[in-house]
Amino acid sequence: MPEDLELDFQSALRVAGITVPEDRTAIMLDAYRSYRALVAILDEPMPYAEEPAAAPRLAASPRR
Amino acid sequence: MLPLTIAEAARRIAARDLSPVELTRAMLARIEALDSQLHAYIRTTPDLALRQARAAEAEIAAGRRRGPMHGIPIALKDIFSTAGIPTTGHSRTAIDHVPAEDAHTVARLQDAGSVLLGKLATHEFAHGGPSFDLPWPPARNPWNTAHVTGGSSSGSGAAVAAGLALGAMGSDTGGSIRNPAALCGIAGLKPTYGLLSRRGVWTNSFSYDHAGPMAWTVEDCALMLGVLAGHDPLDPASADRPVPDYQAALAGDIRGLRIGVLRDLYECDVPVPAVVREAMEAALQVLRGLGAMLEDVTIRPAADYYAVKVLTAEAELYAVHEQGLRERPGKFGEDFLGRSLAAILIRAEDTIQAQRERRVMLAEFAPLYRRYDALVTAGPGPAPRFESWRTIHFWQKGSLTTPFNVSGGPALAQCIGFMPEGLPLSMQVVGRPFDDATVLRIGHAYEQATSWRARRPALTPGAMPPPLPTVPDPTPAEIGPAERDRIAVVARRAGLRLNERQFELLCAAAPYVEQMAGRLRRPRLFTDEPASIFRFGAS
Repeated sequence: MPEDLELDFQSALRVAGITVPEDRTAIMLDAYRSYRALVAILDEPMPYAEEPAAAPRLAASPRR
Repeated sequence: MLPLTIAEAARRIAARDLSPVELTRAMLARIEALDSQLHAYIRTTPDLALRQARAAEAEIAAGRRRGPMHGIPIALKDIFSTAGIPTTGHSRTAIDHVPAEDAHTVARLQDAGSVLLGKLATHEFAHGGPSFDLPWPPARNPWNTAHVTGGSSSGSGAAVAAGLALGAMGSDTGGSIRNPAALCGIAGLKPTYGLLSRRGVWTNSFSYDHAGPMAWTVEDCALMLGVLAGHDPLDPASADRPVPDYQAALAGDIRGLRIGVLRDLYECDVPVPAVVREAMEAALQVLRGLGAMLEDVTIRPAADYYAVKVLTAEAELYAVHEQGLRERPGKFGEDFLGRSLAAILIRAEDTIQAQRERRVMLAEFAPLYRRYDALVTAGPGPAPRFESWRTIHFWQKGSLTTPFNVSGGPALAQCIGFMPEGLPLSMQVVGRPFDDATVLRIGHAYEQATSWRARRPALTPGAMPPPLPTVPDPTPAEIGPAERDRIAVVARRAGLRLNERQFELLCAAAPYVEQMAGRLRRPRLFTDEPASIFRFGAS
């Protein structure tokens, strides 16, 4: 629902401490709608074994 | 005959003084007699165990003994995948989950000829607990069944301490091997991150999960580690490096080793009870008496490590369970929800800052590794009673164990004495990444110099445990109406449909998420990289 999206957008801005100028609000809201559409593409079940592309790696222990 | 250590049983099996079938039958009988008061097992696998024991016996009789784990009865925390055997994570949401393949570590144990007695209780998905609203009851502490085992490898701690398994597999994301090892008076090793494969172990956190052995003695942990360690090309975090002979490292001689004592951590930062401080002083004196050189050393506040770990790990946990939490939150236990739901309040930049801070912390440990062969500090415990647990403690309490999940090196918990009431006390030995052998060497030397391993829990067959408490109400959230409205918006954006109690659990955690994120919000250079980076594998 557009109303919900706008509320969500305002909430996210408030949490991040960002104020968008009045004349930029419409275009930023449109960008937010596009972002939500991107998120929806990833919204599918994924087995727990699907690892992220980035994994932490430890260096070898330093020599004494 | 029971209980035995792995080393004792292995020696007797090798000498044909003990038959794997005889040992397995005795273990199954002991489980039958005692587990109704401990609930260490979710399910036993007696037919499989006897089949594996007979096969081991035949091979050994034919002169084909595979090594010290051949014919040894062990058990698995129920997040380790077992082909054809349910692997539930102790959760209603996975009650019918039957994996097609064994976890890599399970396959290694089987290749070594070990015997699987069954699957063990865990805090839900190795995270929430103790819980009183799951399909199986929580495991109880064998030293006093009114007390918790610690978690999340709760059944592993209880089973090994009670002699219901000679060894068990646990996993450790923030302390989940060392907590139950400490509270149940056994030895538990969180190996170096990447030394053991995580493949086939139900993910808690991709960045912080470690699989590891839990056993009655440090020597037994070394025997298990010897068959568990090794490269797994299908685990992206797995290290490709030679595996040393951990048993050979248990020389008993620690003369000249330099050990840093993280006294400030357990005396001031996360203060332990006086009885633990006294036990630590006595343990340090034992190490000095063995010829180690001790020196006090300080690391950052524990809250820094906790913030770095939680802001990454909770986000990763949520990603694993996101669909289930959105579609059927009521299927999870409330304690799990009280931890995991708050991940929706963690902003992406806070998770990234946590990963960047982790790299700084890893660098801070480097000079300690050069100066000391190992670090020691107090372990968790003594075990509290069940009714004292509240979910909010997860967010409030500092941790003695989590700093070493962040540093990623090996960390051992072992018994250093008992309360007058009989509950165990513990110490941690922490090492350089991939220097697990030195940690085991120190822990083994301490164990040989003391008599704590001679004492076992006294359990009476047929004894009934005291009743469990009811599920505690969510702790009232210390936030105003505007903050509640904001959280409701975030929850709706995440697609969550929560009932009143679930929403209260979320709200109660919110101030702590903000505090943790606030600890890490500071100006950084663009060159400050996160600890997790993308790398191409071999072509």
